[in-house]
Amino acid sequence: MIQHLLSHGFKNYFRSPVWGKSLAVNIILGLLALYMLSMILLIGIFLLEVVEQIAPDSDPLFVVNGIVLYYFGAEFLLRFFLQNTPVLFIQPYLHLPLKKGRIIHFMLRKSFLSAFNLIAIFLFLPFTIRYLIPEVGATAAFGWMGTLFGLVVLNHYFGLYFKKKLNEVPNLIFILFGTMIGLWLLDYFQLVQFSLVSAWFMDQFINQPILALVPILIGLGFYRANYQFLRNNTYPEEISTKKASSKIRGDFGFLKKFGRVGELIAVELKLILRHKRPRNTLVLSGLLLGYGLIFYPNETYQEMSWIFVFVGVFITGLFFINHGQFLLSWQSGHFDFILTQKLNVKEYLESKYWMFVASCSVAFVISLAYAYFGWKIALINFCAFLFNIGINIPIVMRLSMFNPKKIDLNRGAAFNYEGVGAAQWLMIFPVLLAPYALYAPLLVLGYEIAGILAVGLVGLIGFVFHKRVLHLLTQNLINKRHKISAGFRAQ
Amino acid sequence: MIQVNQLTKKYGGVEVVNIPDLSIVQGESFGLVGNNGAGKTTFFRMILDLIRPTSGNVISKEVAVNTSEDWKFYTGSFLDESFLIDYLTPDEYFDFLASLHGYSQGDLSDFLSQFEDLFNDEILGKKKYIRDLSKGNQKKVGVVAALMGNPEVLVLDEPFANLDPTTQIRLKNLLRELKEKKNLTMLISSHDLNHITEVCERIVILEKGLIQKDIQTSETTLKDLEEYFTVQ
Repeated sequence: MIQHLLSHGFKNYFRSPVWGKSLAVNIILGLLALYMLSMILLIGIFLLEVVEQIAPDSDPLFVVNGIVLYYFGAEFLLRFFLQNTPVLFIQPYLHLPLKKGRIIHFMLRKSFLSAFNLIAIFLFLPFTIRYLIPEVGATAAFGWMGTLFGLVVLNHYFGLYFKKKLNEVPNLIFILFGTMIGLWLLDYFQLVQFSLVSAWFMDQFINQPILALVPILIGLGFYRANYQFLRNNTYPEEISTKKASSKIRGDFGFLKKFGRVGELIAVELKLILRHKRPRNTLVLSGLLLGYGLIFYPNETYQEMSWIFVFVGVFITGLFFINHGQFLLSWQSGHFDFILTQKLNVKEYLESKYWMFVASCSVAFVISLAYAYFGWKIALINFCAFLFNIGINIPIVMRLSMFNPKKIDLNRGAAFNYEGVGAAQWLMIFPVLLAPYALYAPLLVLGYEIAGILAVGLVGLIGFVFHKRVLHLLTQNLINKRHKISAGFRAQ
Repeated sequence: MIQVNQLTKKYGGVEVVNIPDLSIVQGESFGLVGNNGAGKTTFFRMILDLIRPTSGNVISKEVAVNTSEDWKFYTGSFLDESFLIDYLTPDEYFDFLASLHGYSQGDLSDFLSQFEDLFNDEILGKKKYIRDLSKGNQKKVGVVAALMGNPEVLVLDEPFANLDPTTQIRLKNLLRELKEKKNLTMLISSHDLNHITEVCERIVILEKGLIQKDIQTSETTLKDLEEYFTVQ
């Protein structure tokens, strides 16, 4: 049975019509992943030398132990943002004479075969072999590495569990970030030095190798928790559609004034408010308006004020980055409708564009409160805002048309991280780096204000030519419409 | 009205549709029958420019559908649920369509009042999203939506499936009426030989992507069709 399920998993992936068509990208991404992993392995092999370079006078083991907790904290965040939760369409298997438990176990075990789990091993195993075994003996080294492996297991299954819970209790994300920020502050103000905690913590396992079982057991505990959670949530009813909702939200009648584009925006706003996932991105975008508070009052950042451009782009543009990355995917369920209605592709894209411009404007107006920290911040935010509406929105719109994936909006709480593809991860680079292409050279030459204004000016020029840009985007979508709609239909 | 030229669609070397020449004149009611996999839906999708043909094209009012968006403005269609915006209530959905068609609120309620019987008080004014409706009711919403804006061409894929018997009969009468009164060009596919022979004056049998028979409906058509499919 396992072979069958494995082969179904592969087939599901490789037979998706979108996959074959973007083979080149997949290969490039695969090579990139290989490159990253080999770099990590290289660092792992020379970890001893690296540590000796950085801290020549300290005990290398002490230094490495000191970073272990930070490493796993970072790994958790990396997993949180990048790792997909295992998805195997459970539904077609539920009525077959197969034990539910077996399918779930299979899913969970298969998920462990993930590149993320190799990182820690690549980083720390060579160090164990090269340094630890000769230094502290095989048993202690085994305990040490066993602990790290246990932490990998723990991180993996805790990460999965956390993501699943997050679908049920979206507010968990604030608890997570609150905790992270809290810990960071504790560390930053040296109330607690986590490097010492980490060193002490890891030392215990060298002294008592048998303790390595503890993190492994906790990790397996989370495996069990995942299992229970999935077990209790495998009813198709809970996976596919939720209870019929009696409350109908939102009318947006005022948007009718703006004609067809307004109507389309109203429909999209309904989409956002009536589905959990897009609603969450909206709420998150609102909350992250407070992002500036981390940077502006902080002394350290005053000297690296170049970072404020990035903050400005982020604050004023978060909604279109978050929502726009799935531009077409949100409507994958009724994309055929859009293509066949009395509706030009151009109007469709215009509605999206203006919705994003409106969201940026709202965010910018709110961000004016940051002028409290200086007029320069308001200026930067204004220029970043112009850059967003002139350049970044078209960039995001264009990139999101690259191989969009289906999103099932009605999918309930338990399994949902659809629509994320390569484009979604790569998108952030041009968006955040493009302003620096203008700003950085002028900053280096000492004309900071000119650099900021250049960012704004280019944005403004982009905005002035938005009709032309939308025309190009329209052409692009028209050329790709068959491929995109086939992709949405097939998955 | 609609002219199909050398239209083929291949998936992985297998031809699923191959229609060298087919023309549907204005006001014709065109019925498409065929077993599963005959290529009916693929054909309809190519008419609606949802699938790129491997070769050939579909011309609607002298303009190829894949080169211009003009056809959208006089073609009503409903193939499947992806033609519905399922997170809207039926009222909101019709409202949105009305705005696309330039209907006023009055136009819209006039239009919808024609379908009161068909809706059977289960669609309008209910606080229910389209996704929460039954398959049959979803179909009613889709078919009525396709009729909005006085289309000149109507494309429906299996409009009778999932409907209750009363609605099937009502829909049949409605389609016949539309044809007579408005000279609507209709393209309908169905597995129900009874219904399709009653609604359509021309029936085409599609099998493995090829046109097997192209007949004008007469007294004996139903029998002929039954015979054809029995032999299969």
